[in-house]
Amino acid sequence: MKKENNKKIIPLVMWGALSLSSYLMIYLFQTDLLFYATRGGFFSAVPILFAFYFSFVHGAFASYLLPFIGVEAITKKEAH
Amino acid sequence: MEGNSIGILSNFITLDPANILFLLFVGFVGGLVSGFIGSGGAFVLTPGMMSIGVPGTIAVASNMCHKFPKSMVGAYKRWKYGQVDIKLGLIMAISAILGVQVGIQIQEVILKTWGNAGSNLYVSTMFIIVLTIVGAYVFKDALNMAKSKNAKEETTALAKRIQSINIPPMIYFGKVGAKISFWVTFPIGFCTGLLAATIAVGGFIGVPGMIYVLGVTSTVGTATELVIAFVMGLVGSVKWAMSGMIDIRLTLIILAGSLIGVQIGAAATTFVKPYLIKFVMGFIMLLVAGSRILAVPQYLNELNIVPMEKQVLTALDQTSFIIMSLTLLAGALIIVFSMIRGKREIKRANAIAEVRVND
Repeated sequence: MKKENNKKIIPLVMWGALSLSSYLMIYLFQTDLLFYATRGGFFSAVPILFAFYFSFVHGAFASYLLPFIGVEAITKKEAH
Repeated sequence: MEGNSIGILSNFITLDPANILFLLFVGFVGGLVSGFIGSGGAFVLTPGMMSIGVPGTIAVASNMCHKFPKSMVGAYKRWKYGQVDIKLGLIMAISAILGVQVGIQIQEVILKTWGNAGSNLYVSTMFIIVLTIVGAYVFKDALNMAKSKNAKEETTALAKRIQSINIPPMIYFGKVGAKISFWVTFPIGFCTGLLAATIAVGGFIGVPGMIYVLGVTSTVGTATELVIAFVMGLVGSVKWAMSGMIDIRLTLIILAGSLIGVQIGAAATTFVKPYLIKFVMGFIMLLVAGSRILAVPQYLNELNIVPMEKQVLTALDQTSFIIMSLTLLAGALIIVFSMIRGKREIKRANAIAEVRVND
Protein backbone atom coordinates (compact mmCIF):
# COMPACT_ATOMS: atom_id res chain seq x y z
CA MET A 1 0.00 0.00 0.00
CA LYS A 2 2.79 2.34 1.01
CA LYS A 3 4.71 1.45 -2.14
CA GLU A 4 1.65 2.25 -4.28
CA ASN A 5 1.28 5.64 -2.63
CA ASN A 6 4.94 6.39 -3.23
CA LYS A 7 4.48 5.50 -6.90
CA LYS A 8 1.79 8.16 -7.13
CA ILE A 9 3.52 10.80 -5.02
CA ILE A 10 6.98 10.74 -6.65
CA PRO A 11 5.85 11.75 -10.19
CA LEU A 12 3.40 14.26 -8.67
CA VAL A 13 6.18 15.98 -6.72
CA MET A 14 8.63 15.81 -9.66
CA TRP A 15 6.23 17.30 -12.23
CA GLY A 16 5.07 19.82 -9.62
CA ALA A 17 8.63 20.95 -8.92
CA LEU A 18 9.44 21.24 -12.64
CA SER A 19 6.26 23.23 -13.27
CA LEU A 20 6.84 25.55 -10.32
CA SER A 21 10.47 26.22 -11.25
CA SER A 22 9.47 26.90 -14.88
CA TYR A 23 6.88 29.43 -13.72
CA LEU A 24 9.47 31.05 -11.44
CA MET A 25 11.80 31.50 -14.42
CA ILE A 26 9.00 33.15 -16.37
CA TYR A 27 8.36 35.55 -13.50
CA LEU A 28 12.05 36.47 -13.19
CA PHE A 29 12.68 36.92 -16.92
CA GLN A 30 9.28 38.21 -17.97
CA THR A 31 10.53 41.43 -19.56
CA ASP A 32 12.97 39.64 -21.88
CA LEU A 33 10.45 36.94 -22.66
CA LEU A 34 7.77 39.43 -23.56
CA PHE A 35 10.22 41.37 -25.72
CA TYR A 36 11.13 38.34 -27.83
CA ALA A 37 7.63 36.80 -27.84
CA THR A 38 6.12 39.93 -29.39
CA ARG A 39 8.70 40.53 -32.14
CA GLY A 40 6.73 38.58 -34.74
CA GLY A 41 8.26 36.79 -37.75
CA PHE A 42 10.58 33.95 -36.78
CA PHE A 43 10.01 34.81 -33.10
CA SER A 44 6.32 33.87 -33.45
CA ALA A 45 7.42 30.37 -32.49
CA VAL A 46 8.36 31.62 -28.99
CA PRO A 47 4.83 31.97 -27.50
CA ILE A 48 3.65 28.79 -29.27
CA LEU A 49 6.54 26.68 -27.98
CA PHE A 50 6.20 28.10 -24.46
CA ALA A 51 2.46 27.31 -24.48
CA PHE A 52 3.21 23.72 -25.58
CA TYR A 53 5.98 23.28 -23.02
CA PHE A 54 3.87 24.53 -20.11
CA SER A 55 0.82 22.55 -21.15
CA PHE A 56 2.92 19.41 -21.20
CA VAL A 57 4.71 19.96 -17.90
CA HIS A 58 1.87 21.57 -15.96
CA GLY A 59 -0.71 19.26 -17.62
CA ALA A 60 1.27 16.22 -16.44
CA PHE A 61 1.36 17.68 -12.94
CA ALA A 62 -2.43 18.25 -13.05
CA SER A 63 -3.01 14.67 -14.29
CA TYR A 64 -1.21 13.28 -11.25
CA LEU A 65 -2.70 15.83 -8.86
CA LEU A 66 -6.39 15.25 -9.61
CA PRO A 67 -6.64 11.49 -8.95
CA PHE A 68 -4.52 12.14 -5.87
CA ILE A 69 -7.16 14.51 -4.46
CA GLY A 70 -10.00 12.18 -5.54
CA VAL A 71 -11.17 13.87 -8.76
CA GLU A 72 -11.69 11.19 -11.39
CA ALA A 73 -14.40 10.27 -13.88
CA ILE A 74 -16.07 7.20 -12.42
CA THR A 75 -18.01 6.01 -15.45
CA LYS A 76 -16.37 5.81 -18.86
CA LYS A 77 -19.63 6.03 -20.71
CA GLU A 78 -20.29 5.85 -24.42
CA ALA A 79 -22.28 9.02 -24.96
CA HIS A 80 -23.95 8.12 -28.18
CA MET B 1 9.13 43.33 -12.17
CA GLU B 2 10.42 46.50 -13.78
CA GLY B 3 7.35 48.53 -14.55
CA ASN B 4 9.32 50.92 -16.77
CA SER B 5 10.85 48.31 -19.01
CA ILE B 6 7.45 46.78 -19.63
CA GLY B 7 6.27 50.32 -20.22
CA ILE B 8 8.28 50.31 -23.46
CA LEU B 9 5.91 47.63 -24.67
CA SER B 10 3.09 50.04 -23.94
CA ASN B 11 0.22 47.70 -24.79
CA PHE B 12 1.17 45.21 -22.08
CA ILE B 13 0.07 45.56 -18.45
CA THR B 14 2.35 45.48 -15.42
CA LEU B 15 1.74 42.36 -13.37
CA ASP B 16 1.33 42.55 -9.60
CA PRO B 17 0.48 39.73 -7.13
CA ALA B 18 -3.21 40.70 -7.10
CA ASN B 19 -3.39 40.53 -10.91
CA ILE B 20 -1.60 37.18 -10.94
CA LEU B 21 -3.95 35.66 -8.34
CA PHE B 22 -6.97 37.01 -10.18
CA LEU B 23 -5.75 35.52 -13.49
CA LEU B 24 -5.06 32.17 -11.82
CA PHE B 25 -8.61 32.12 -10.43
CA VAL B 26 -10.18 33.21 -13.73
CA GLY B 27 -8.06 30.62 -15.56
CA PHE B 28 -9.20 27.87 -13.19
CA VAL B 29 -12.87 28.73 -13.57
CA GLY B 30 -12.48 29.21 -17.33
CA GLY B 31 -10.90 25.76 -17.56
CA LEU B 32 -13.57 24.22 -15.36
CA VAL B 33 -16.35 25.67 -17.50
CA SER B 34 -14.67 24.78 -20.81
CA GLY B 35 -13.99 21.19 -19.74
CA PHE B 36 -17.67 21.00 -18.80
CA ILE B 37 -19.43 22.79 -21.66
CA GLY B 38 -16.77 22.48 -24.38
CA SER B 39 -16.36 26.15 -25.21
CA GLY B 40 -12.98 27.74 -24.78
CA GLY B 41 -14.02 29.39 -21.56
CA ALA B 42 -12.70 32.56 -23.15
CA PHE B 43 -16.03 34.26 -22.64
CA VAL B 44 -14.93 34.15 -19.04
CA LEU B 45 -11.27 34.90 -19.72
CA THR B 46 -11.46 37.71 -22.31
CA PRO B 47 -13.72 39.96 -20.18
CA GLY B 48 -11.73 38.87 -17.11
CA MET B 49 -8.48 40.11 -18.66
CA MET B 50 -10.11 43.26 -19.97
CA SER B 51 -11.39 44.04 -16.48
CA ILE B 52 -7.79 44.38 -15.20
CA GLY B 53 -6.84 46.70 -18.06
CA VAL B 54 -5.64 44.37 -20.83
CA PRO B 55 -6.64 45.83 -24.24
CA GLY B 56 -9.27 43.78 -26.12
CA THR B 57 -7.00 42.62 -28.95
CA ILE B 58 -4.24 41.41 -26.61
CA ALA B 59 -6.82 39.71 -24.37
CA VAL B 60 -8.23 37.81 -27.37
CA ALA B 61 -4.77 36.91 -28.74
CA SER B 62 -3.38 35.75 -25.37
CA ASN B 63 -6.52 33.72 -24.76
CA MET B 64 -6.29 31.99 -28.07
CA CYS B 65 -2.71 30.98 -27.31
CA HIS B 66 -3.75 29.40 -24.00
CA LYS B 67 -6.75 27.75 -25.59
CA PHE B 68 -5.06 25.31 -27.95
CA PRO B 69 -2.93 23.44 -25.39
CA LYS B 70 -5.82 23.43 -22.92
CA SER B 71 -8.23 22.11 -25.55
CA MET B 72 -5.69 19.47 -26.51
CA VAL B 73 -5.65 18.18 -22.91
CA GLY B 74 -9.47 18.42 -22.62
CA ALA B 75 -10.07 16.68 -25.97
CA TYR B 76 -7.74 13.84 -25.03
CA LYS B 77 -9.51 13.33 -21.70
CA ARG B 78 -12.97 13.30 -23.27
CA TRP B 79 -11.84 11.07 -26.15
CA LYS B 80 -10.88 8.57 -23.45
CA TYR B 81 -14.46 8.79 -22.13
CA GLY B 82 -15.70 7.92 -25.66
CA GLN B 83 -17.35 11.31 -26.25
CA VAL B 84 -15.43 12.71 -29.25
CA ASP B 85 -16.37 12.43 -32.96
CA ILE B 86 -12.90 12.99 -34.39
CA LYS B 87 -13.99 13.08 -38.05
CA LEU B 88 -16.62 15.72 -37.34
CA GLY B 89 -14.12 17.67 -35.22
CA LEU B 90 -11.45 17.73 -37.93
CA ILE B 91 -13.83 18.69 -40.76
CA MET B 92 -15.33 21.48 -38.66
CA ALA B 93 -11.83 22.58 -37.63
CA ILE B 94 -10.63 22.97 -41.23
CA SER B 95 -13.70 25.10 -42.05
CA ALA B 96 -13.11 27.06 -38.87
CA ILE B 97 -9.52 27.90 -39.87
CA LEU B 98 -10.87 29.85 -42.86
CA GLY B 99 -13.26 31.67 -40.53
CA VAL B 100 -10.38 32.55 -38.19
CA GLN B 101 -8.38 34.11 -41.04
CA VAL B 102 -11.29 36.36 -42.01
CA GLY B 103 -12.00 37.22 -38.35
CA ILE B 104 -8.41 38.28 -37.65
CA GLN B 105 -8.36 40.54 -40.73
CA ILE B 106 -11.49 42.30 -39.44
CA GLN B 107 -9.90 42.75 -35.99
CA GLU B 108 -6.71 44.22 -37.46
CA VAL B 109 -8.63 46.74 -39.59
CA ILE B 110 -10.69 47.85 -36.56
CA LEU B 111 -7.58 48.22 -34.39
CA LYS B 112 -5.79 50.28 -37.03
CA THR B 113 -8.79 52.52 -37.68
CA TRP B 114 -10.25 53.10 -34.19
CA GLY B 115 -7.47 51.99 -31.82
CA ASN B 116 -7.90 50.03 -28.56
CA ALA B 117 -11.21 51.65 -27.58
CA GLY B 118 -12.72 50.73 -30.96
CA SER B 119 -11.42 47.19 -30.64
CA ASN B 120 -12.82 46.90 -27.09
CA LEU B 121 -16.19 48.18 -28.25
CA TYR B 122 -16.27 45.72 -31.17
CA VAL B 123 -15.31 42.71 -29.00
CA SER B 124 -17.84 43.66 -26.30
CA THR B 125 -20.66 44.29 -28.79
CA MET B 126 -20.11 40.92 -30.46
CA PHE B 127 -20.04 39.27 -27.03
CA ILE B 128 -23.37 40.83 -26.07
CA ILE B 129 -25.12 39.95 -29.35
CA VAL B 130 -23.96 36.33 -29.53
CA LEU B 131 -24.21 35.56 -25.81
CA THR B 132 -27.73 36.96 -25.48
CA ILE B 133 -29.17 35.15 -28.51
CA VAL B 134 -27.46 31.78 -28.07
CA GLY B 135 -27.56 31.90 -24.24
CA ALA B 136 -31.33 32.49 -24.21
CA TYR B 137 -31.91 29.62 -26.65
CA VAL B 138 -29.71 27.16 -24.77
CA PHE B 139 -31.18 28.19 -21.40
CA LYS B 140 -34.75 27.74 -22.67
CA ASP B 141 -33.88 24.34 -24.07
CA ALA B 142 -32.30 23.26 -20.75
CA LEU B 143 -35.40 24.36 -18.83
CA ASN B 144 -37.66 22.42 -21.23
CA MET B 145 -35.50 19.32 -20.84
CA ALA B 146 -35.51 19.64 -17.05
CA LYS B 147 -39.33 20.00 -17.02
CA SER B 148 -40.02 17.04 -19.29
CA LYS B 149 -40.15 13.70 -17.49
CA ASN B 150 -37.58 11.91 -19.61
CA ALA B 151 -34.42 13.96 -19.42
CA LYS B 152 -33.08 12.22 -22.53
CA GLU B 153 -31.92 14.41 -25.39
CA GLU B 154 -33.88 14.15 -28.61
CA THR B 155 -32.69 15.05 -32.11
CA THR B 156 -34.27 18.39 -33.04
CA ALA B 157 -36.68 18.68 -35.97
CA LEU B 158 -34.17 21.01 -37.64
CA ALA B 159 -31.38 18.41 -37.33
CA LYS B 160 -33.63 15.72 -38.79
CA ARG B 161 -34.43 17.96 -41.77
CA ILE B 162 -30.72 18.82 -42.20
CA GLN B 163 -29.75 15.14 -42.15
CA SER B 164 -32.17 14.55 -45.03
CA ILE B 165 -30.35 17.10 -47.27
CA ASN B 166 -28.44 15.20 -49.92
CA ILE B 167 -25.80 17.43 -51.54
CA PRO B 168 -22.49 15.63 -52.13
CA PRO B 169 -20.03 15.16 -50.59
CA MET B 170 -22.04 13.33 -47.91
CA ILE B 171 -20.03 12.27 -44.86
CA TYR B 172 -20.96 9.63 -42.28
CA PHE B 173 -20.41 10.64 -38.66
CA GLY B 174 -20.33 7.76 -36.18
CA LYS B 175 -21.51 9.71 -33.13
CA VAL B 176 -24.40 11.28 -35.08
CA GLY B 177 -25.27 7.95 -36.65
CA ALA B 178 -26.16 9.60 -39.98
CA LYS B 179 -24.69 11.00 -43.19
CA ILE B 180 -24.52 14.81 -43.32
CA SER B 181 -23.65 17.01 -46.29
CA PHE B 182 -20.28 18.83 -46.16
CA TRP B 183 -22.18 21.97 -47.19
CA VAL B 184 -24.01 21.89 -43.86
CA THR B 185 -20.96 21.35 -41.65
CA PHE B 186 -18.85 23.93 -43.53
CA PRO B 187 -20.87 27.10 -42.66
CA ILE B 188 -21.13 26.05 -39.00
CA GLY B 189 -17.36 25.50 -38.90
CA PHE B 190 -16.65 28.78 -40.73
CA CYS B 191 -18.83 30.83 -38.35
CA THR B 192 -17.23 29.07 -35.38
CA GLY B 193 -13.81 30.26 -36.59
CA LEU B 194 -15.03 33.75 -37.39
CA LEU B 195 -16.43 34.14 -33.89
CA ALA B 196 -13.33 32.60 -32.32
CA ALA B 197 -11.09 35.22 -33.94
CA THR B 198 -13.46 37.93 -32.76
CA ILE B 199 -14.16 37.03 -29.15
CA ALA B 200 -11.73 34.08 -28.74
CA VAL B 201 -14.57 31.64 -28.25
CA GLY B 202 -16.15 29.95 -31.23
CA GLY B 203 -17.91 27.32 -29.14
CA PHE B 204 -20.97 29.51 -28.81
CA ILE B 205 -21.73 28.80 -32.44
CA GLY B 206 -19.95 25.45 -32.79
CA VAL B 207 -21.57 23.62 -29.86
CA PRO B 208 -25.20 24.76 -30.35
CA GLY B 209 -24.66 24.32 -34.13
CA MET B 210 -23.62 20.70 -33.68
CA ILE B 211 -26.41 19.99 -31.18
CA TYR B 212 -29.35 21.77 -32.82
CA VAL B 213 -28.38 21.67 -36.52
CA LEU B 214 -26.34 18.47 -36.89
CA GLY B 215 -28.15 16.52 -34.17
CA VAL B 216 -25.33 15.33 -31.87
CA THR B 217 -25.92 14.99 -28.11
CA SER B 218 -24.69 17.81 -25.86
CA THR B 219 -22.02 15.49 -24.43
CA VAL B 220 -20.60 14.66 -27.88
CA GLY B 221 -21.04 18.27 -29.10
CA THR B 222 -19.14 19.79 -26.20
CA ALA B 223 -16.40 17.13 -26.45
CA THR B 224 -15.96 17.47 -30.24
CA GLU B 225 -15.75 21.24 -29.88
CA LEU B 226 -12.49 20.73 -27.98
CA VAL B 227 -10.91 19.17 -31.12
CA ILE B 228 -12.04 22.17 -33.19
CA ALA B 229 -10.76 24.53 -30.52
CA PHE B 230 -7.34 22.88 -30.54
CA VAL B 231 -6.77 23.03 -34.31
CA MET B 232 -8.29 26.46 -34.69
CA GLY B 233 -6.52 27.82 -31.62
CA LEU B 234 -3.14 26.66 -32.88
CA VAL B 235 -3.54 28.23 -36.32
CA GLY B 236 -5.03 31.44 -34.86
CA SER B 237 -2.25 31.73 -32.29
CA VAL B 238 0.44 31.52 -34.96
CA LYS B 239 -1.28 34.36 -36.80
CA TRP B 240 -1.62 36.49 -33.66
CA ALA B 241 2.02 35.73 -32.74
CA MET B 242 3.10 37.08 -36.14
CA SER B 243 1.47 40.39 -35.24
CA GLY B 244 3.19 40.33 -31.81
CA MET B 245 -0.13 40.55 -29.96
CA ILE B 246 0.27 37.63 -27.53
CA ASP B 247 1.16 38.52 -23.94
CA ILE B 248 2.74 35.15 -23.18
CA ARG B 249 2.91 35.93 -19.42
CA LEU B 250 -0.90 36.19 -19.25
CA THR B 251 -1.25 33.07 -21.43
CA LEU B 252 0.91 30.99 -19.11
CA ILE B 253 -0.69 32.22 -15.86
CA ILE B 254 -4.14 31.41 -17.19
CA LEU B 255 -2.89 28.04 -18.40
CA ALA B 256 -1.72 27.20 -14.85
CA GLY B 257 -5.27 27.47 -13.53
CA SER B 258 -7.14 26.20 -16.55
CA LEU B 259 -5.19 22.96 -17.06
CA ILE B 260 -6.36 21.85 -13.63
CA GLY B 261 -9.87 23.24 -14.15
CA VAL B 262 -10.38 21.62 -17.57
CA GLN B 263 -9.68 18.14 -16.23
CA ILE B 264 -12.10 18.58 -13.32
CA GLY B 265 -14.74 19.95 -15.74
CA ALA B 266 -14.27 17.02 -18.15
CA ALA B 267 -14.60 14.50 -15.31
CA ALA B 268 -17.73 16.30 -14.07
CA THR B 269 -19.57 15.67 -17.38
CA THR B 270 -19.61 11.95 -16.61
CA PHE B 271 -21.61 12.55 -13.41
CA VAL B 272 -24.42 14.83 -14.57
CA LYS B 273 -27.55 14.72 -16.74
CA PRO B 274 -27.17 16.40 -20.18
CA TYR B 275 -29.63 19.20 -19.38
CA LEU B 276 -27.36 20.43 -16.61
CA ILE B 277 -24.55 21.02 -19.12
CA LYS B 278 -26.93 23.18 -21.17
CA PHE B 279 -28.28 24.91 -18.08
CA VAL B 280 -24.80 25.95 -16.92
CA MET B 281 -23.87 27.04 -20.45
CA GLY B 282 -26.97 29.24 -20.87
CA PHE B 283 -26.76 30.65 -17.34
CA ILE B 284 -23.15 31.78 -17.73
CA MET B 285 -23.68 33.14 -21.25
CA LEU B 286 -26.59 35.36 -20.22
CA LEU B 287 -24.93 36.76 -17.10
CA VAL B 288 -21.62 37.47 -18.86
CA ALA B 289 -23.61 39.29 -21.57
CA GLY B 290 -25.22 41.41 -18.84
CA SER B 291 -21.84 42.21 -17.36
CA ARG B 292 -20.45 43.27 -20.76
CA ILE B 293 -23.41 45.59 -21.43
CA LEU B 294 -22.34 47.66 -18.41
CA ALA B 295 -18.80 47.99 -19.85
CA VAL B 296 -19.94 49.46 -23.17
CA PRO B 297 -20.54 53.09 -21.99
CA GLN B 298 -16.83 53.34 -21.07
CA TYR B 299 -15.73 52.49 -24.61
CA LEU B 300 -18.35 54.82 -26.11
CA ASN B 301 -16.94 57.57 -23.88
CA GLU B 302 -13.33 56.82 -24.96
CA LEU B 303 -14.39 57.10 -28.59
CA ASN B 304 -16.18 60.41 -27.80
CA ILE B 305 -19.45 58.97 -29.07
CA VAL B 306 -21.33 59.31 -25.75
CA PRO B 307 -19.43 61.49 -23.23
CA MET B 308 -20.18 60.46 -19.61
CA GLU B 309 -19.23 61.45 -16.05
CA LYS B 310 -16.15 59.65 -14.72
CA GLN B 311 -17.94 58.63 -11.49
CA VAL B 312 -20.77 56.99 -13.43
CA LEU B 313 -18.27 55.10 -15.60
CA THR B 314 -16.34 53.87 -12.56
CA ALA B 315 -19.57 52.66 -10.91
CA LEU B 316 -20.63 50.84 -14.10
CA ASP B 317 -17.19 49.31 -14.49
CA GLN B 318 -17.16 48.03 -10.90
CA THR B 319 -20.70 46.62 -11.19
CA SER B 320 -19.73 44.85 -14.43
CA PHE B 321 -16.70 43.32 -12.71
CA ILE B 322 -18.73 42.17 -9.67
CA ILE B 323 -21.44 40.57 -11.84
CA MET B 324 -18.83 38.70 -13.85
CA SER B 325 -16.94 37.46 -10.78
CA LEU B 326 -20.16 36.24 -9.13
CA THR B 327 -21.21 34.51 -12.36
CA LEU B 328 -17.90 32.67 -12.53
CA LEU B 329 -18.14 31.66 -8.92
CA ALA B 330 -21.73 30.45 -9.33
CA GLY B 331 -20.84 28.49 -12.51
CA ALA B 332 -17.88 26.84 -10.79
CA LEU B 333 -19.96 25.98 -7.72
CA ILE B 334 -22.75 24.43 -9.83
CA ILE B 335 -20.21 22.21 -11.63
CA VAL B 336 -18.35 21.17 -8.48
CA PHE B 337 -21.51 20.50 -6.44
CA SER B 338 -23.21 18.54 -9.21
CA MET B 339 -20.10 16.41 -9.47
CA ILE B 340 -20.12 15.76 -5.71
CA ARG B 341 -23.87 14.98 -5.82
CA GLY B 342 -23.42 12.68 -8.83
CA LYS B 343 -20.61 10.85 -7.05
CA ARG B 344 -22.77 10.42 -3.95
CA GLU B 345 -25.71 9.07 -6.01
CA ILE B 346 -23.49 6.52 -7.73
CA LYS B 347 -22.12 5.41 -4.35
CA ARG B 348 -25.66 5.06 -2.97
CA ALA B 349 -26.81 3.09 -6.02
CA ASN B 350 -23.81 0.78 -5.71
CA ALA B 351 -24.50 0.26 -2.01
CA ILE B 352 -28.16 -0.65 -2.73
CA ALA B 353 -27.09 -3.04 -5.51
CA GLU B 354 -24.61 -4.67 -3.14
CA VAL B 355 -27.29 -5.16 -0.45
CA ARG B 356 -29.61 -6.78 -3.05
CA VAL B 357 -26.87 -9.13 -4.23
CA ASN B 358 -26.13 -10.15 -0.62
CA ASP B 359 -29.86 -10.76 0.04
